[in-house]
Amino acid sequence: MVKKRINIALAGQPNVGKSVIFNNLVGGSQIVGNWPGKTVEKAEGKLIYGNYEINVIDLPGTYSLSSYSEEEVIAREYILSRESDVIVNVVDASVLERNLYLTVQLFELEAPVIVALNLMDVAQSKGIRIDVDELSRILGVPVVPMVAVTGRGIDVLVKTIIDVVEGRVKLSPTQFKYGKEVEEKISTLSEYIKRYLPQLCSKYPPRWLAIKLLEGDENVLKIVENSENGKIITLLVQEFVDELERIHGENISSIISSERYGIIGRDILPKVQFIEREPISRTFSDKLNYWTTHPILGYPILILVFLTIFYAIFTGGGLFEEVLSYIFDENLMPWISEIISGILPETLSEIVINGFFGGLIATLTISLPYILPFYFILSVLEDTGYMPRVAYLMDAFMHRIGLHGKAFLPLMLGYGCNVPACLGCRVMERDREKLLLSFLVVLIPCSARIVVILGIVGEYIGFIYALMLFLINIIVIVLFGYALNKLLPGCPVGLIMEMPDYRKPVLRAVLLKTWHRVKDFIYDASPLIVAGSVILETIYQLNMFPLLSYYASPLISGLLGLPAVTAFPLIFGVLRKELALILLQKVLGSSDLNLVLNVKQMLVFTIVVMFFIPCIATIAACVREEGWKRAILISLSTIVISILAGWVTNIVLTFLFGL
Amino acid sequence: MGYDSSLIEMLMPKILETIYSISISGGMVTLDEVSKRLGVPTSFLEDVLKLAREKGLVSSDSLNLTDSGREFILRYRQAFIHDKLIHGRHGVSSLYSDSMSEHLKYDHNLSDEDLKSLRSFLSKFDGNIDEAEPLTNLRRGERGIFIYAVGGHGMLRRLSDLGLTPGIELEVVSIASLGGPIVVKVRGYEIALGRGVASRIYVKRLR
Repeated sequence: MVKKRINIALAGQPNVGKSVIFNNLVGGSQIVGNWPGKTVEKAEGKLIYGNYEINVIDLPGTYSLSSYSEEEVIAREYILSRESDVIVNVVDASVLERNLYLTVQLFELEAPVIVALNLMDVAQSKGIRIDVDELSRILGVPVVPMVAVTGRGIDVLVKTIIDVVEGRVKLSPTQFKYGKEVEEKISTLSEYIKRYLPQLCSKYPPRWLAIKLLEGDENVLKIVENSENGKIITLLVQEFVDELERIHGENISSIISSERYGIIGRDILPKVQFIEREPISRTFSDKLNYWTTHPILGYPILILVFLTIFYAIFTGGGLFEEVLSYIFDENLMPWISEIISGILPETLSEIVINGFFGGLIATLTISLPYILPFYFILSVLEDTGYMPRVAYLMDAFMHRIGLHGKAFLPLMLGYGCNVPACLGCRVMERDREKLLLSFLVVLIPCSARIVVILGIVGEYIGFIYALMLFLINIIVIVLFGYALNKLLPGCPVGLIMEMPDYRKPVLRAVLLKTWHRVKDFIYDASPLIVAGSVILETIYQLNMFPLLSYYASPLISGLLGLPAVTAFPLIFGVLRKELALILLQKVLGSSDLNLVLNVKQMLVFTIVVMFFIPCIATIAACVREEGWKRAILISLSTIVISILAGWVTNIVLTFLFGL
Repeated sequence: MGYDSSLIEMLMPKILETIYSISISGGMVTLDEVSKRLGVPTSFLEDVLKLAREKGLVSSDSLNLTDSGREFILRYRQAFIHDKLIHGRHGVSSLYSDSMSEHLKYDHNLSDEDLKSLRSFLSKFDGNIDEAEPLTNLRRGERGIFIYAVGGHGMLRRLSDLGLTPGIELEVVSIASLGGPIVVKVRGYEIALGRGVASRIYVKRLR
């Protein structure tokens, strides 16, 4: 039997458990991609329920539906496209007032909304009782109470969706009225819009257009101005805005927001939300919040948390890597190479064995031991709510380099792999900050580069020197960020961020988030790494590097004081960063670097590798996010920085320390 | 197509003002020119002019304003500036918003010089209006009423979307050291505001 198809979309504010509901609904069937032509993530999945095939789209989490951010525009365009039979508005019962702010706007869009009232347990623990039936009556749509983390309410939600689609439950969303003066303007405007802009009314609800015009929404203003008679309407809007601003003495966006909050505070909240008791004096979440945002102790806690993570991952990961390399290098590789060298001629078989399989195995031995656990822990920190605290603590510092607290997470992601870090730059609201951050994340030593740092400096000179390199790295990033902030046109934007309560993370959600980030590495980075590895091996087999050394020697030997052949591992590190170490040993003809390089050369080499061009996969990610021109600019900047840093190190070590 | 008479009446001052602006800047006042400036069809302008002529604000044989037309415009402007700047509760702050400056400059022929002197005049009252002071003045645990914020459209909208609307009570929950953000509790939840943002939020301290 053919199943009936239903399309639904989840809309809601950030931190309301929307993705938990999404995961509960669609399980493993989800596909995560981008919205067409946008750098905003789009998650889609399917649920088979009885005779229904329900297609679920997870809209970006937004506080509002203005055109403040790309996310908000995407969410509302999608809702206006009327592709969904039902829009499920996920609402945080413990922060009902602010959440209804979005609900009211969804109603203005005349969308077929039902409400999923999530986090009922949290509301209860805060002493808040909500009259669900009354809320449903006032809104005129079904309200399903839920505790998504335990799965409570999911079944009812799905049944309600089906009831709505089958017409067993009618939606009669209440049209909430604004205050008298504003309401007058809205209805006059929507009358004129109906009369003079009929061509727009087939696509947009006239009342919504009127509200958005009054709010000064740029996108809607543009749409209206570009239609016939549109300018007459916008002139009228200007008159109305002037009048309202005069009456209220506020700017118009404040007036409209106030009115919306007024609707909620007057018509909805008093009848549905009851504070039963004051919240228990200090919950665990409050105490955790107190210490982790403490003006003094917050910082040592932060440092401790991240040092512990890095230490655990690089010691634990090291052990894990040894196990893996035992399996692959000691057992699997000899077996593979035996088979392949039996079939292919010598040079070609070397390329396939070292290039293709070597690259494949390297991807695994980096991703499994380092990237996977790192992103798992980071996702846990995020889902508990620690990351906003980190953003809070780091904000002042980030402002020095033209960013704000939220930029800290992508920088952290960079220590795993630069690819997800590049994609993570999306958290910045504006283009300027996004670009600035992209310049900086590629300078963060990813796990492959960390392997090189530990493998050369950590191994031959001492662990403390390796740590010093990380410190130098941070200093350079700060200086570069500071300079960029001065150079880029425009001014930095400030931090405005919700501080959600601490919450117990849900394993499933954490695992999914981890997977999405690791996937960026496996899908996007590894094919390029393997391809790069094949190219590299080909060049090696064709014995081309003496030529290269000849041309690179003025720079490499003259400026950096390194043996000319080290140009090879430096340049081809672009293809595979972690190979820089192995290649170095290869070109120098010794696996004991002590015999072929002095301490100064090791430090200079490592510093150059640390900053040098991001790997090919990162460049590809950069191109996708920022476009060709900027990706090239970003890559060039890393070359300049790495050479400069290497040169300065060389001079300092030679003249100050006499090395 | 005939236009609604109340629509015509509501927009007449704006149209006349544009005509006035063109004429005092020495330009040739034609229907096309006005239509180009405002982007409205000439058929609509004709309807407006018809009404204006009936009221004796525009001379019957040309596009020139009559004496009472000029007086009408000046009163219109005066009322606007008066209301906006003196009675506007956001007072001088609004002069710093780009949209307002544009508005004053282009729609009301205020020059940069005028704007500057207006600002310096009104700045004497800034901060005294409604006893507002920057949020950064409040200490941890202190409460205040949000009065207004100064900033670009994006920032203002973000703040009001998050529930920081004029008249709402807020409490300073924590203040990060080293010039970091300020966390305020508003409507039962917490929002972190960068120090720069916080310094442009004006509140009335509650004691």
